[in-house]
Amino acid sequence: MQQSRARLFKEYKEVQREKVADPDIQLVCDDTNIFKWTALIKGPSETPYEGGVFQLAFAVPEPYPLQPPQVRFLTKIFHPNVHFKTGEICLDILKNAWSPAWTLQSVCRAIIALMAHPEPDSPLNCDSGNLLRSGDVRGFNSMASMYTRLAAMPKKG
Amino acid sequence: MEDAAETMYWCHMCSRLVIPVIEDEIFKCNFCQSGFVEEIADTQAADSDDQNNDGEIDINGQLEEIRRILSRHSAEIVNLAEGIRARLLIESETNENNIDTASVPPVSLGDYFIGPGYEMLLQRLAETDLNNKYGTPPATKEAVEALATVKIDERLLQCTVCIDDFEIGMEAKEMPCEHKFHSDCLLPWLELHSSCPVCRFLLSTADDDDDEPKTNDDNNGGFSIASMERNGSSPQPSSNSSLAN
Ligand SMILES: [Zn+2]
Ligand SMILES: [Zn+2]
Ligand SMILES: [Zn+2]
Repeated sequence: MQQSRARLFKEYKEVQREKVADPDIQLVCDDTNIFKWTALIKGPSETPYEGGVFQLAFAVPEPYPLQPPQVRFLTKIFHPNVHFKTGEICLDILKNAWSPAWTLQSVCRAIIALMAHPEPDSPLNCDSGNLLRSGDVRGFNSMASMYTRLAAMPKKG
Repeated sequence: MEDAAETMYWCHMCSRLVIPVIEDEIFKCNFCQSGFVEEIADTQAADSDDQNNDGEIDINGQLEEIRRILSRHSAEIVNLAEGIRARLLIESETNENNIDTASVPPVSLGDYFIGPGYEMLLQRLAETDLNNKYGTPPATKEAVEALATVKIDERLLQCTVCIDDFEIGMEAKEMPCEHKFHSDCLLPWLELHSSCPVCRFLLSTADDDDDEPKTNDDNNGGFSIASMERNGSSPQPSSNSSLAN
């Protein structure tokens, strides 16, 4: 508990320092609870998520960093490896490939990489997985950018 | 505060919001004239509500989640919940595990599905998965005891578990791959997993039949950042080598 607090506080200071360095990630700690974080990440360019800003919620377990943070999308996203309803993310480093050398910031980077490289063979969103597996990239891109437009962009426009 | 439930239309040919024209009762895209136009409800209102009270899941959301888990784990869920409860009791007595369960309040099975116990169940499920199914098994006592203790003689070397810089002359535990950590940082990790936090080098585990070092190639499916990492592309966790900044 004390260790996880100390480590999270380090990350907090690190984030303040790096803010300018990574304009695609804005990681914010809850004012009252250092175990709760949210992040805003920019959809990677040349993907259907381009132009969108996606919100992630982090719940950090007490044994962190021995155990990975739990992360989910709060913003709706159409992606094979993200559960459409719950925002749950299927990503190895959040499960079996976790290592305490990952930080909340580098997890954000991994999620951005996942957005750019969907893995249709282990889908949490079956519809989008099926679209991609059946080779309907156009259909997938259209659905994904539709939801980006709907959920991840400013309302006006 | 605009809550006008405006109907919007998306053209799947143009991949954009369109204002459709209606011809013979068929909605057609005003740009490409195709009929591949989908009516989309204003879901954003619901989404932004979600985002405002972040963390708080509404009952419907919870039920949805429960249904999802039920369909995934089927009848196992009740057994699992029972098992977790039993384990909690045992753990709090034997206290051999380094996961702090003493602070976990007792919960009834009913609490698991509604209210605060529910989030704990999810947490427990995740932990059960993590400790029992995912990742490498714990390192053997012998392998841990055989680890070298070294004196740090490099500047700007970081222990990646606590992300603190080492001070020159400080003692550290060194893995066979030469990655160094504070003893208090490394040993709890090796009690759970045999892999080096930085490079995934494997110490011998109880499951091993031989002492040959191997690399960790197991993959439970799912997108593998870990394999990208090995191939040298981004992203990477912070490295244990000298920091450039
Ligand atoms: Zn069109
Ligand atoms: Zn350390
Ligand atoms: Zn190593």
